[in-house]
Amino acid sequence: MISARNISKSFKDVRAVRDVSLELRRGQYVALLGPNGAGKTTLVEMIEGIQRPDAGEIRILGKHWSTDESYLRRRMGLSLQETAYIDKLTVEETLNLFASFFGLGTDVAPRILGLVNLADKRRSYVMNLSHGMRQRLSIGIALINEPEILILDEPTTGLDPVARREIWGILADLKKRGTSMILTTHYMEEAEHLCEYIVIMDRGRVLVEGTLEQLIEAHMNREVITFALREHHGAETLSRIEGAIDLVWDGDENGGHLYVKDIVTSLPRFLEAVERERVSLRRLECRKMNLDDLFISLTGRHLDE
Amino acid sequence: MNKPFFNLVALQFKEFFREPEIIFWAFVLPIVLSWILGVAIGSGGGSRGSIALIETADATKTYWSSWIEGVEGASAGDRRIDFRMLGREEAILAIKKGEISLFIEKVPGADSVRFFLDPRSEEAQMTYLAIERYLRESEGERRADSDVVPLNVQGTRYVGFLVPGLLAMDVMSSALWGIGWALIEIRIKKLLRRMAATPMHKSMFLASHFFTRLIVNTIEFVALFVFVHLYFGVGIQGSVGALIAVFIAGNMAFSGLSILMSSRTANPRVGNGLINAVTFPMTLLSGVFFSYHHLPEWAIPIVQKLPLTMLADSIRSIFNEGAGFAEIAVPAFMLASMGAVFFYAGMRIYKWY
Repeated sequence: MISARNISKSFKDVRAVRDVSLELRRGQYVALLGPNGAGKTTLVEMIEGIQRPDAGEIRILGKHWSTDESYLRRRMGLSLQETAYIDKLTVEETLNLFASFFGLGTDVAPRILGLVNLADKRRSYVMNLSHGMRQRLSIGIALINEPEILILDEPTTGLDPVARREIWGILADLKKRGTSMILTTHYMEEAEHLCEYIVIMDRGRVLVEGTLEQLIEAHMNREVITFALREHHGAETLSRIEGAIDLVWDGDENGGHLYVKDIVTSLPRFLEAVERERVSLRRLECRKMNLDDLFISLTGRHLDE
Repeated sequence: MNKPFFNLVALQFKEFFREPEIIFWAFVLPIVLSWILGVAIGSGGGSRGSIALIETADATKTYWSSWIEGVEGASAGDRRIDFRMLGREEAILAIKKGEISLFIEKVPGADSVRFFLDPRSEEAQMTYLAIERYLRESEGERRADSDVVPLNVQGTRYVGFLVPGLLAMDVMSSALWGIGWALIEIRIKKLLRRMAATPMHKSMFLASHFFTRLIVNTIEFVALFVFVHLYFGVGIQGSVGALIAVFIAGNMAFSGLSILMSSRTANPRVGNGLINAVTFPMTLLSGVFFSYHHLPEWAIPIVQKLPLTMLADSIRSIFNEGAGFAEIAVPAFMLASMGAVFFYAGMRIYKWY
């Protein structure tokens, strides 16, 4: 449905997107996962026809923005970042306004209100909605034209866990109806929960991509010992233990993430090393590697930094 | 029925009427302003120290030249008086246009003069007193005071000068803030890009702002007119049709200007500054509160090309001088053309995303 090839985009001296390619197949949910400034929004805005790439080609449903804008606008549903709707318009009036842009009648709003669980708020002014409700309204607006492709730019950023799960529920329902979606997020749980294909971006580039299983197989078939020390101590000796693969040191924390093949083998060795070096642990955590750990192992930074 | 144009117009009215403070600023403030300036200040008006001397068979240029020499002292220092020779009708027109503050006629068969002025105009009073003092000095203390004829013909009073200017200024500020600022605000809220990312027709979106503002401005115009008509007795001496035509043309000019001004700005401070940079000089220069005829001569033709000047002068000529289509055709055409050019230029460079 979407084929973006070798896309690049720069702003003055910032190279926002560097030679990125992306595919979206029918019925697929793709997550663009990365921290702020990774280039996710710039990439999706080029796919949305809001920005033009400096290089590369974007085909959507076999069409180009330059020649088929009206056709594509009618088939895509968008939720852009930070859109503030009109404060003193009701939820229903806002939906009717956007429906009219697509040549649709006022019969659309009740269906959308049901889809995004805002039926009881239909007469509320936008200014009186919570952040989560506004995000649901934004998703509702994206769904007005029954789009073949849905592109949501950080739809759950800043929401509390309950509001976030509510949106996940809506998006999961849409998936059952065969909607295709690109979602940008910096929450790894969101990408894992909703999307079968994950693209991890940083500084305008794609670091790794694949299905969750492929990523686990290729990059996450490890376990992590996360620790922090009381004393300032060189970490090198702690990482020279059996089964250790890599250590990412965090100076601020005075600790690090030690990636190991098998925690059962490596943890006793790690604790022995701690004792041998006469240091004490302030924190210790052992777990299977997740997407955040993968991002840390690739960049040395957290996803939500 | 769910038409985008109708919805866009309706949404602007809903925003308007759901915000009670806006109603005060839009409707009540211009009325209060006209009341304060028309009654409380109620004076001023006319051009500083420009007066007309009425030329007749009895009072020739030579008569007035020697008369001016007698009162030369009145025109010294800060108080410079420009004398000009005019016919009576021309003088009345000049006073309506604010080009002069009073005119003087020779009393037929006698060696005295008669002053015609708005008794509420401080400027006219001051000029009268200055001249009268020198007449007394040159003719001696026993001289009787000159006759003063109060002018009460519509348009010769300050309020008659002020109201058309206020109506024109209202069109300007309403368009620049109501369209220009509203569009900048929609861009700042990132709502503009969201709307533009639908199949919405962009020119229709902008046209809906023009249409809404035309309706709002009409209501404001009528409300202010009804007030000044009932309170000050200001009426329309010329063609109502011509007034409607020039009003629409003025709305086109300022709506076009608003769209051009809002075409790129996404910063509230820049937007605010831009609007003030346009409205402030025009409000000062375009003869809204005081005639622009006291400006240096080289500046007057430039000021006369400003859209607010064209609109204010046209409305003033319809209100006070009985002008019709023929008199306002050129400025109305110029205003409409300006609007079209500004709109086209704005559309060409408009930043939708």
